[in-house]
Amino acid sequence: MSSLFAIISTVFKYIFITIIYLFIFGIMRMIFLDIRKIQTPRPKGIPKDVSYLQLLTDRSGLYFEVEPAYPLEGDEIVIGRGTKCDISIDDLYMSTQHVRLWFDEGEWYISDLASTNGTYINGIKMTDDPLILDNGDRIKIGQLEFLVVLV
Amino acid sequence: MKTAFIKRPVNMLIAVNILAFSLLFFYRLPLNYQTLYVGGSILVLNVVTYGIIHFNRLGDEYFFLIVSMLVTIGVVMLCRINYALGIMQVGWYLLSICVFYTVYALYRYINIWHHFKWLYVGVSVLLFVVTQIFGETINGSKNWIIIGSQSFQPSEIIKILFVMYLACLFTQERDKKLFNISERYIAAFFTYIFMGFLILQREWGITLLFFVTYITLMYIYEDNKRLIALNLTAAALVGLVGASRLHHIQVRIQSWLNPWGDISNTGYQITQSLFAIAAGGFFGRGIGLGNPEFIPEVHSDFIFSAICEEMGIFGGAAVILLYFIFVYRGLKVALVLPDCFDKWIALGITIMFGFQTFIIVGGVIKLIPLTGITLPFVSYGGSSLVTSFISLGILQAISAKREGRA
Repeated sequence: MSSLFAIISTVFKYIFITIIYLFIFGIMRMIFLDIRKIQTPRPKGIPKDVSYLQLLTDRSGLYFEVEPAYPLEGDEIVIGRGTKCDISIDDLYMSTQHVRLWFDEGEWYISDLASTNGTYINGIKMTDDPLILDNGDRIKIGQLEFLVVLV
Repeated sequence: MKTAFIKRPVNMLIAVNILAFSLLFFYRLPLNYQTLYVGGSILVLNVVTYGIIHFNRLGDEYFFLIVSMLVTIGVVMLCRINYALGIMQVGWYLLSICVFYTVYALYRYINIWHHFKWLYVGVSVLLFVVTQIFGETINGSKNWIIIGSQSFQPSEIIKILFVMYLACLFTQERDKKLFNISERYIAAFFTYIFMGFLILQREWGITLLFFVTYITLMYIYEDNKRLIALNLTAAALVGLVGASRLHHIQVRIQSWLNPWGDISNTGYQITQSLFAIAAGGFFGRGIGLGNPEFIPEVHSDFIFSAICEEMGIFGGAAVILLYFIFVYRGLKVALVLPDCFDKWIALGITIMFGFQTFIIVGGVIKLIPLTGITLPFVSYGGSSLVTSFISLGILQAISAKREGRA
């Protein structure tokens, strides 16, 4: 028994250290995103007093075209793969009409349009209920992750 | 999905909890099912508190994440070293979480804490006097007050009161005078009074902690560099006199410079600590496979050596990194705060944690002379853990105020 414990413990020590460093790495990554949110300069082509969605995913590895940022103009925006969407992105993991954002009484709302792969807000999958967006929220649609920058 | 799972730190925290306590469960025969309850309660406490902070947006969520990882590592090591202490620590952790919420609510929704400057000083002096009269000596330090079956260290509470006093002082108008003496000289006076009491209690570690915290805050606040130079000169003189006259300090410096000279007596603690760290190597000997019981005081001051022995230098470095990001996070919160009083409190608490970690980790690895002080959140100790969580509650409330969500 004790020799068995010694083997288990020896294996576990590597696992432990790996996990603890993954934990530290995770926190550092979150802190890094947090800082970038503060320091990121306004992307080109976005007017000064317009809220926008900023792409966080690295664009270089993607097979489809996507802008570094999308302005939130007008009162309603539908994001999806369909060409009729306000923001049309040819990501195979997106539904034709994936998610709807709308502006009402000073708040931006988000609602998932029954998409196949779902929408994640700050890493949590959205239910059918609409949510109010906060500055700094992260929206994951398909393969892409966006940062919400509100003015 | 898999990357998302690994990238979320709270999942890693849960993994460490489950793995560590299931490992401990098999540590001793016959199998002790209580270990599973201990692990389960730690896991539930961590996850529930993190969930409450995360979903209700009670301010910065990283503080608690980091601290819960540290507490987990601490409890795992304590259960392995001395099972009864591990159980006690879980009880203290539960109490600490309750205190944490209470302090959070008090500090967040009641905004009167900058009015009580003299109360903080008064209570501190009172606690010191009470300790001096009724204190009990444990491990050579006369700094324990025993009430019933429980004992606690008043100096732990005075640390927080001291930071709050300095924050009050720095927030009021500059050059405010009392009896025609500038209040910064009065603050210096009280700092040295406090340090004097601590020296009488033979609490070198906390004395040093008070001094470096005071000097750092003064350095940030004070335009008048002469006062800082004066402080440093005075401290250097007192230090020199102490080193040449006081037997206690001489022994400590001697066992720091050459612990091998008197290995069986004064150098025993530090050499055992060094042996343990050396035995650990890079990845450690594995939890339950080392011999941390050879180190004196391994459950409190020397727990870092036990971590290094059983989890290796990588484990020890991970613990230091955790403190590092904690301090970084605290400074970041302090930088962006609009309210000056909150700013000073956040700064004071953060650097106090940072210096406390430095003093004890530096001590056990023979970087600086060893002074007994607890490793915050990891060492065994009720008063240490509870007061650390009081500080954390204040910090959490301050970070929530910044986000401005009620």
